[in-house]
Amino acid sequence: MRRSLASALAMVLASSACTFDDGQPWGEARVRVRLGFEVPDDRALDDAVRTSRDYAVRLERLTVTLDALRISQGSAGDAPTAFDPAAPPPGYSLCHNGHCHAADGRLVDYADIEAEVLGGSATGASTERALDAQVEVPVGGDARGPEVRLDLPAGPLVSLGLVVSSIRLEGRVDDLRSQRRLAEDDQAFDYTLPVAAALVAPLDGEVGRDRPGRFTLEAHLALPVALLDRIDFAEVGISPDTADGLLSGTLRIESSH
Amino acid sequence: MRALLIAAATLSLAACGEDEGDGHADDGEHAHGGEVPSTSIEAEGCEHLADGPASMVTAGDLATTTPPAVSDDHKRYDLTLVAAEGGNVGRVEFASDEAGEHSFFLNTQVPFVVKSADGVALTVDHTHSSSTLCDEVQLWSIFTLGVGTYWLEVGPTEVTGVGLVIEAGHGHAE
Repeated sequence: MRRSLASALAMVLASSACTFDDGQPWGEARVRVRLGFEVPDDRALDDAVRTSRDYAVRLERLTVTLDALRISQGSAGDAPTAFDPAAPPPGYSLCHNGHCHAADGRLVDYADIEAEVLGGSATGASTERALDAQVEVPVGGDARGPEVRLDLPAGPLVSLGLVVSSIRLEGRVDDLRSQRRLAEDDQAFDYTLPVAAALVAPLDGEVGRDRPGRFTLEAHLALPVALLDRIDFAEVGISPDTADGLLSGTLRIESSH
Repeated sequence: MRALLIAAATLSLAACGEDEGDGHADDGEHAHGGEVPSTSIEAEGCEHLADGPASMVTAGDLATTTPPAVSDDHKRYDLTLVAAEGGNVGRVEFASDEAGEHSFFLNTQVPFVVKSADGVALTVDHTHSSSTLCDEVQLWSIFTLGVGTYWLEVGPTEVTGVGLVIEAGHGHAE
């Protein structure tokens, strides 16, 4: 009788254990992605965008393909990696006045380089979620991208990276110069720029035993209108260096929990 | 719900190193995209004329409609001029990605003209023949540009080359 009770109890325990979840993660991030393409006043024509190569571009469709989103973390107790302007990371030089000169000519603030250094040297987990999403971005407006949830292990948050694989531009173009370079007026174009790069922005916060983090993040990628400057519409196709350094947009993170 | 952070970052795809930084700090601050606050434009012109980084460019003659490109990317462009009637000349192309004042710093006093890519000469806003911050600046011309491509013409002159730095902005106390 005693043996049968013990057996029954064991069976109940075993069966109920099968219905238990594995458990909650230390932390969780819910990330909303938004993309924008603003046209500044000094580039706005009636129904087109002026480029620095003297073209008037009417974008009919701008499609961004997002590959993945990742959150990098440090290990608990990590000391922040110091950025030293006297010994900047590869790709930067002439650090002074609170900025460094990037090899592609951009001026980048110390804080942004530090975030990049921290992201690149994060010693903890890297949690990635595939997106494989195509987002159509309206000219002069914003578009809502994918929303994802990531389980986070313990550790300080370091950076969020948004991996962009390509940008497709469709529309029509006119030449603004008197000596026309295009084969025809109102010429149609359809270019896919192979970007294959990630924008990285710093994160703040920590997930730990005493800090079960639930973060809501909005990652807003502002595409630069200057990406149109990279294209000489009179050329056939796109030169290999056209996409180099193309993704110089701004990734802004707003976080709350 | 408490806002924790508003941060911005730009991506660096570049991967080659040049000079390292000097580690000093002052009250200057740059915006993204290349334009610097007006108070440090002159200092930037001095710095890059003196220390580079430098790129060698052989300028086109004054008849070419496809001259080589220069940029406001915080470099000194060492232009090699070409022989022409009356002296050495050169034409290079600059694509302005932002409307507004642009400073052109040269390390030699030479005739300097800015034209649209249709060949129409612009009126210079004003010109200085020196800088209070350094000796490298021998000519500092300020033009107001729109978004578009411009031709920068040097000469005729006796010199065979000239250093050029372009900065978006002005920054001279008038």
